[in-house]
Amino acid sequence: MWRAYELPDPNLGNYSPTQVTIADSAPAILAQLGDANFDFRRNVVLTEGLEALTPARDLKLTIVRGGVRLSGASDGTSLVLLPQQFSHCLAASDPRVRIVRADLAWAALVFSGKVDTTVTLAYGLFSPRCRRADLADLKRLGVALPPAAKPPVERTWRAVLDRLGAAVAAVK
Amino acid sequence: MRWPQFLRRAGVRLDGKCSAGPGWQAWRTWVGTGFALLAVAVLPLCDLLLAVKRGYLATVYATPWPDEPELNDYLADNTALAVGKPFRGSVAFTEAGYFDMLTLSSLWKRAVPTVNEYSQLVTPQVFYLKVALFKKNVAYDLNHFMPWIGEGGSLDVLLNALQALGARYVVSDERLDQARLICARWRSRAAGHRAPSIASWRWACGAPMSCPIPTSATTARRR
Repeated sequence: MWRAYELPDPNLGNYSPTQVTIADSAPAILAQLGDANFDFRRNVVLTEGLEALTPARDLKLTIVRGGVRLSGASDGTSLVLLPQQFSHCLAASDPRVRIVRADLAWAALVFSGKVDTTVTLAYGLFSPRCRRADLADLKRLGVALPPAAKPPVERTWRAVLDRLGAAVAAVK
Repeated sequence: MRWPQFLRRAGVRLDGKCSAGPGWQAWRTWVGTGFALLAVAVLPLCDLLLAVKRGYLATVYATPWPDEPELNDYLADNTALAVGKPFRGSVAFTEAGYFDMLTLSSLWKRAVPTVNEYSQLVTPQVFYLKVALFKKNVAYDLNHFMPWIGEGGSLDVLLNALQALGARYVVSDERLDQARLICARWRSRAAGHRAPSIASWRWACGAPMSCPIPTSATTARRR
């Protein structure tokens, strides 16, 4: 039986947290995110420090071909949490805007003053280099599945032949 | 072999004069050509015979789109993406079975964004969130992002994270007792799928809510 629920305050590009916590490893970041009092609208966990943040205003996230466009303003320096996963392949059209990793997996924009920028994923067949930086982040942050999360794989010839036999039988 | 050479070998004269009759070379060429044509015709012929004798095989892998117009219209009206329009939130499905993927595909076709993802671009960090934060068993979640909680996971933490990821609607077959949630209900509709027993329960939402099933999409705050 299916049910559909509406969440009261989704991130429509309007989350502009100001309370920054610094954590340099994935388990330390998750310890913050797993706290019942952690509010993505006010709190953010970054891997490196920023100047004091002020909430951004007049934020508007619109869809453009191949990406999103964020416009808004800040009285100082602001951070906006995008409803998008972070990758080093993300690129902002405005060079004054920084894209940083926030809360381990989210992309966030850091800007001062007025902003009107397009964010696109600059990853492709001829531009795969940014993925290396993503891989380096895995090591730097210590992202590793706990052993219990990995499915048990029996690597014996007998097991391989059994699986092969089962696959052939399924095809028949 | 080029056409003039072929025709000469087959005993055809290109100067318009009569041939003295096909020799052994010509016969060999015609017979060889015949066998070659036969050989290349075998597969299409087999296909033709198969199509005639077992026509039902043609639709074995054809799956009709889910017949869920109320759900599709409701989510598309409220979240579908369009160039130049504001982002209005996305949808998070908690299930990832075969028929759920059909529903997801049907929504993707109408530009409804979902938190759920099935691609090579799912980042390891978000995969890690599923394991370490939501406590989900990801043994069979390869390159999927289907966020839900496992044993020991917190629904509040999950819903906060989903909201931060842009989720506006959560579609689940589990009852979520969070007071802040709003339930959207649709009248039951049997999909035109071959397996009505599977399709017919999909939108039978309403009974556990102890409220009449409306004839069109409505929203109501839960008490």
